[in-house]
Parts: sequence; structure tokens; C-alpha cells
Amino acid sequence: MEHEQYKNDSTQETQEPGKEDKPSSLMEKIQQLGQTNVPQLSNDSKIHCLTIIGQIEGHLALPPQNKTTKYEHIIPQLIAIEQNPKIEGLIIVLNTVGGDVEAGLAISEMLASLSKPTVSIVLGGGHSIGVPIAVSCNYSFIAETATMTIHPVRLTGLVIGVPQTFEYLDKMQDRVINFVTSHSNITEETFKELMFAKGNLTRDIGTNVIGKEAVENGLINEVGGIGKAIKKLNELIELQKDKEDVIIQ
Amino acid sequence: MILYTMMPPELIYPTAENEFGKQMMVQYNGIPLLVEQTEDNCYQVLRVMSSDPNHYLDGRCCPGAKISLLT
Repeated sequence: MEHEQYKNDSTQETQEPGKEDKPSSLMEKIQQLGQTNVPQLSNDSKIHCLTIIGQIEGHLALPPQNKTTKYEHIIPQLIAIEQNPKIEGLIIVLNTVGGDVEAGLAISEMLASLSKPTVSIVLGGGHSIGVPIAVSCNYSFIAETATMTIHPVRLTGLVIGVPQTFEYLDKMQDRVINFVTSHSNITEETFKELMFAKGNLTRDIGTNVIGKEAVENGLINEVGGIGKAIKKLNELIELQKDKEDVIIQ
Repeated sequence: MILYTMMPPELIYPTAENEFGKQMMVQYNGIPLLVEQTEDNCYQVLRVMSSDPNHYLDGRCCPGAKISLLT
């Protein structure tokens, strides 16, 4: 192996760029991935998976070192999923710190209006605008250790300080509250109570709900992981099929 | 120096234009990928942008793998 490595080094300058495409040696694969092979599925999967990770990017493109969820990636994917008859269900995996309110609400509305069964699962964190995305699905799960921060809409920088700005922010917040209360079992009072609670977050108002608490407040349907989520999604797919059969008859 | 501000860091320290140019979206065998150009004119996969779980099992374009787009 060492000998081969030496040979590779000496010929590197004359190597063509296209050479990388060749099936790479075992050594190279271990360097790249830390593993040699992965299992292969034979047929097309009827369940697709979307990950909402990092920051939800709005109108400002974040620097490349930020991990972001871009709505211009997510929304065309959702349209493709809605149109493809082979896809029967969608699972949303969330681990987000939040981000742009309007981009987040756009994704939530798209998910809520999808005709195919959807199940969301919050792993790690589903903070601020991640909350409407989590509740927009037909059924939602939260991992036992996952957290969700509920807090009022905030802006960082670039604000014109006039009374209308405050009203605009207030209306924006109402849109979030309306969306969450109409897509989950939480009441408006409880949600607002959590949103404006004092003493839970350092020098800020709001609440950080963890796993079971989110379920107790009615925000999320159930505590569980991937296994439960896939099982629930399969159940929802069966229900959808039964409904379609009735319509045809 | 400590900056006490509620402004997001990217507004205070604008990112260099060429930083954005490094990353791009490509289709590789029908799989949408986010790639970054490396020094030796190859592309390193940063993220698989597909919603199809099968695409994540494709060993040729796992994150970290180097691919050539010249074929």
C-alpha cells in the first residue's frame, strides 16, 4: 500500500482532472468518508425526507460557513413531491435555530397545504420560526431531549423606529400565533403565556419547552423518534389510500 | 475589541464576494448537490440537497467525496 502511495505522488502533476471520477482506491475512500461502503436500497422510496437545519435564510444570503435552509431549495422540492405520484408521504426533520419569519411561514404554509401525509420530527432544536414549521405537518413528534424556544418576533438591526414599525412587527407576530394555534392543539392563551413568560430565558422573555413539555402544552402531538415517526407516516399513508378508494367507489 | 451590538455579524463584517462563488449547486447523476471547488480543480461535496433518501445512500456523492464534473 505504501509503495502505491509513493507512485501516486510522483505522477500527480501529470494527472488529468477527469481521473478523480474513476472508482477510487480503498485508502482514498477511507480518507474521504471514514467508511468503505454503504447499503443500497433497490427500489424507489415512497417516503421522502426534508431536513430543515441551521438557520432559515430569508432575503439576505448568509455567508457560506453558515448552515442554512434556503426557501428557494425547499419550495421547489415540495412542489416536486406534491406532483410526483410515486411519493406517498413526507417526513420533515427539524434541527433549526430559527431565522427569517416570512421564509419560515412560507415553508410552513407550503407544508400545511400539501395533499400528501406529512410527519415532522424535532431533533435537537426547533426554535422560534421552527415552531410553525413543526406544527404545520399532519402529525408532529419531538425527541425527548429536543427543545423549542417560543419567543416574540424580534428584529436585529436595520429598523426604522416609527410607531408603524412596531405595528408591523405586532401583525407579523399575530400571523405566527394564528398559524401555530390553528395547526396544533395549543390554545392562544397558553401560547401567548409561553411567549411572554419572564424569568425563563436569560435577559429575555419567552420559554424554552423541552420534549414532554411541548406535548403537555399541546404544541406537539407526541414524544418519539424516527421509528415512531415512520410508523405514524405509514399509518397516515394507509388512511389516505382508504379515503381515495372510497372516493373512487 | 468587543462590539456590543444587536446587529448580525454578517452586516458588520461583509463576506468577501469570492467566498460566495466557491460554493455551487450541481446535478450529479440526477442528484442535486451543494459542492465546493477545491484547489486541484475537483469538487468536494458539502451537502446532498435531495429529498430522496436513496440519494443519501449513493457512495459516490457522500459529503466529503471528491467528484469531477468534467466528464
